[in-house]
Amino acid sequence: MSSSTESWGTRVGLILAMAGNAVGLGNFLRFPVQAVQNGGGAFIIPYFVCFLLLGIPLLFIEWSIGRYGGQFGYHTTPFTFQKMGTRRFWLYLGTFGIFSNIAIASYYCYIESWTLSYVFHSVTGTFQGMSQFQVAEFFNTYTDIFVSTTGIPFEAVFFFLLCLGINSWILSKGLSGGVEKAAKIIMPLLIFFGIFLAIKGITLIAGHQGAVNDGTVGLNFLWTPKYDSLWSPKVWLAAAGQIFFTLSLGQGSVQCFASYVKKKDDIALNAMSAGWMNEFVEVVLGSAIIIPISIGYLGIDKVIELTSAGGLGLGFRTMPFLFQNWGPILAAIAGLAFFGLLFFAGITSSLAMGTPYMSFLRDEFNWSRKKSAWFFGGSVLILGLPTVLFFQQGVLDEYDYWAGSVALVLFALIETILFSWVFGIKKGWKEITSGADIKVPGIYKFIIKWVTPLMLLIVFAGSLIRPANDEWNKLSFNGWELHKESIIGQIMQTGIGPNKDYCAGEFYAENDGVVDSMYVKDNRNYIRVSNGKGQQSSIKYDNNDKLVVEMGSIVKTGDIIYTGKVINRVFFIDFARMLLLSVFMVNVGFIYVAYKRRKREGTI
Amino acid sequence: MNKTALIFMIISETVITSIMVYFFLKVLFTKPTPESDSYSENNDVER
Repeated sequence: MSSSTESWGTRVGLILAMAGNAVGLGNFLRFPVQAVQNGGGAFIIPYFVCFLLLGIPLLFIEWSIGRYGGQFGYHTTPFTFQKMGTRRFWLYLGTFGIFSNIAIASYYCYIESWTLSYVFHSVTGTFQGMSQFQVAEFFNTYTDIFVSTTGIPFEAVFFFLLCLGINSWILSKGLSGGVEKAAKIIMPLLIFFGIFLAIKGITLIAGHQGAVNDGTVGLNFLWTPKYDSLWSPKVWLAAAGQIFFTLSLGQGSVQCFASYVKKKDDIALNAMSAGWMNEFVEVVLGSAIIIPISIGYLGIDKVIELTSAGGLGLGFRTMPFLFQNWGPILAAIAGLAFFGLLFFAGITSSLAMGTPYMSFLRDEFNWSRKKSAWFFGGSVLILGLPTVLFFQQGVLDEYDYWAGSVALVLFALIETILFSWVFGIKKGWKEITSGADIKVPGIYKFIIKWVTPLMLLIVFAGSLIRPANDEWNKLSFNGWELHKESIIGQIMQTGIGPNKDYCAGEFYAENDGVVDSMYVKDNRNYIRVSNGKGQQSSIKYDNNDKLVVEMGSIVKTGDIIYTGKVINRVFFIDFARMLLLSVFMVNVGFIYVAYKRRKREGTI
Repeated sequence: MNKTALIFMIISETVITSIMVYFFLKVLFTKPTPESDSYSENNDVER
């Protein structure tokens, strides 16, 4: 059924595209924050262990699965899985290899569009003269689509569309003419921008250009090991999670890229080269940019506080302000380099997310390259719009949790069991070593069969039952309080708080504290409840709503803040979940139709 | 920077950079097999 004539232009092109797939926003924003939150320099030990026992084996597995499927004209996981597992349910388990890509792309392209917009704002000098608060508020305003920061109506939607257009256009040029060509231009530029910013970051001198610390203070903070953190399951789970994110594992894109490699060609060396290139960008460049620069200007305590909200906050709410210390011209150049770097990192990953979807449509329904690329763009637009429109209601976080975290681990577990136990490690090992340009250490046969599946099971089980405050010593047969980000906690919505109904007549306080601020911004009314220990919530209300509290009121969680027509966050969360589930089922439907077609045509 | 942090950083970054360079050079200098391979730009015939 497949009429695909796609192929890679050069081996270096394939490796750069594969490394580009792995190198993403997480390399620069997530890794340093994870390291700071999980023991500084000691994080690198579990991180490396997870890379060797989880990352490298999964790279071998995914490249092998891809190349194996490619021999039969399958470029996506559903039919490759069925070929390997022979039973029909493997076909449907392979759905994850298409679903995750489209679901992740739908919010990832939105984040990517922020970087594009921030390049524009950095170059045009929007951030010049802004205070730190104003730069942080700029981000809030930007993600509130009804308010424009440039005069362009629906600015966030405009940049999202622009970003999708660029992605679809490159994808429509094909594998070697689009994805590979883009990777060959982008990856060297990305490394160049990364080196420029890393040098700027680590050469900061206290007292110069407003810096309060040397750049090396940030490096010191990041790399000073705290060995006691090695005994914490939280740190190990974080390290395993980071390896998944950084290598784009459990997603289906590696398999798709590798499916265009011929049976006799090497995959072992290619996998190692792309994997280690990603590690270089993450550990060497990623650790030398945002942490040294932000600690250089804000100090350690402030950065610890800021990183508690994750790397995105630090990158978009803080970095543009810090660059202003370098004067208008260097600030514009640094903004261009930093957000350009993030854009490049993002687009090489989102292009990889588009390829499996396109390959599926081309293989199974004989669609043209152009048609499938623009269909991908359209699908991402439809699925991504809720993340744009309801970003502040948590829809993007919900997509990220289920498609960008849970689905990846689950799929990696499924493919490892299939590869090692169903397909069989003997045949699997032959696939890995066939045509290899390096000698793969024999120990990996044992690791792939036993250690990797076991580690994946532990990671998945740990994510299911993660205890509140990561107090693993509290696990007992009598039960324990679940972390709100554990899978069971998420399903039971333990972190929702008192506003549990979709629609209500009252809005309740979600934390204890004092009403310490009441203000109007962009024609919206806000009140802020702070507890004086860093926990605060800004509550938005309409003119028609009736406030029950006033300035200085002491409120407890569950107290009424205002009465009126309220649509609570929980509504948007469930809406996002139902949307993702529907997309998964639609993909299952596509695969069922494709299966029937293949059966009818006798190509399966 | 304190000594432990410096040692940690230098060892980690040197190991990663060396391995990355080693594998990439190996890719660059490994001769392609004489038979047809996956890469279209190696082909004699225009596609």
